Amino acid sequence: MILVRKSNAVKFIALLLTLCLASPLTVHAAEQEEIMPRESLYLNMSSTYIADMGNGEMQIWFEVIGTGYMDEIGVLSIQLYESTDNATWKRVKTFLPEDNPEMMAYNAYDHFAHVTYHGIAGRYYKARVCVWAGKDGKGDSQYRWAYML
Amino acid sequence: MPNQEKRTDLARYDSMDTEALQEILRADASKTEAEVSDQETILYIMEVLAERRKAQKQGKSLDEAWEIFRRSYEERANNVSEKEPVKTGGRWKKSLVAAAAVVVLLLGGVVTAKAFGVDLWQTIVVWGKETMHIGYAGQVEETGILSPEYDNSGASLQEALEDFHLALKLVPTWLPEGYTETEVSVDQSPVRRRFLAIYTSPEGNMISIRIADYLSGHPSEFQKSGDWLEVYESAGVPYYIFQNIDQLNAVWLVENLECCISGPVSLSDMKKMIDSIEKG
Repeated sequence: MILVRKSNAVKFIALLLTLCLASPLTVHAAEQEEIMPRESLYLNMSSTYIADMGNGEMQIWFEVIGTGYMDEIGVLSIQLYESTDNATWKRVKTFLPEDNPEMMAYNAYDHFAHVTYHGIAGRYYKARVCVWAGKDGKGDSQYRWAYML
Repeated sequence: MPNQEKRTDLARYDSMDTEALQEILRADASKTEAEVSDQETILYIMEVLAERRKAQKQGKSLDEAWEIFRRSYEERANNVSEKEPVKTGGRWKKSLVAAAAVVVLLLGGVVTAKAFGVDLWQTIVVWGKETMHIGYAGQVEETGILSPEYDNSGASLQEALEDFHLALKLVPTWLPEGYTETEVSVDQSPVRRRFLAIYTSPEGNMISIRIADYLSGHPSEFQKSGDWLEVYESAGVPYYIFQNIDQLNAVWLVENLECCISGPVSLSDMKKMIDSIEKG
């Protein structure tokens, strides 16, 4: 569980991002990450996937449902990885709420939204998504992998 | 192109020994969420095992399947080595519980489940260390995605489902005392429709019902507490009930829809809501 004192929304999210963005640019299989608690007072369900829109364009969708109304609910970061051989991956883009306000909802029970990326047709993509729900200065985050449909 | 290459790669599991496939599932069940777990591969393996089981025509009722699971767990738990550190032993036991749950739910299920045309043999449950998800072992046809201009203002959940020509019985007609429908939303992505209704009590407690298109190979993940799971049958449909601290979740599949009721309710109230779905 991540405990945070909140002064304003931007600082709050920025602090949490430092805990979610610790990963190298090049990804190999079975990367070790911090183990998150299995149960959650804030998160109840999440779903992430990448919709291929054709010609290299893709939408990275995420759905996060809380255990009740949350002060903030959504995703703290999306790290997008690209590969030419589906074996060696390179991070090509990081999405953050400060640049993509659609990643976070406020005073909400859930959040269902997406971000868009223009990649290269024929290449493989996957995304590491940090889902988040927070209330009264506390909250939970979990990592999810989103794959192309 | 990527999907076609992946399927060729998965074909090697078709000829792999059953015990070897089960070992892969057990190993996956012991992974944390932090480790990369190829869900498409895991689901493909489960499909292979389900088909083999079906071919053997060995059926057991869910009760028999659970009895096998409990006996197997107790046997293994009693044989835990005293030399193993407590923490490791606990993780080992939990991994076995998880793996056993997955395997047993693959084996079980000859009870009637034809109400919605669901073949119970193909319904699988992945019971991981931190989350659970359910899915189909076989391929599922895509559903139609409707116009993004849909306006559901003022519609109830049942009315919204009917607007999308979903004639299935999916909505409970009984709720715990005091709860009323306060919010209904319909959201769409290029591949999924999602219906979400929230019911609120005078005390501010909330129950939600979520119905969404099932995405093969990309199941939704639910947080869970411990290893408690109850498989409750109503009208031939299995409902998987588990806890996330104060929340009780009931998750089930109907044709190509994944459904969930969540809320701070008792098990008996959850079962009443489930039973009311069929009674309409």
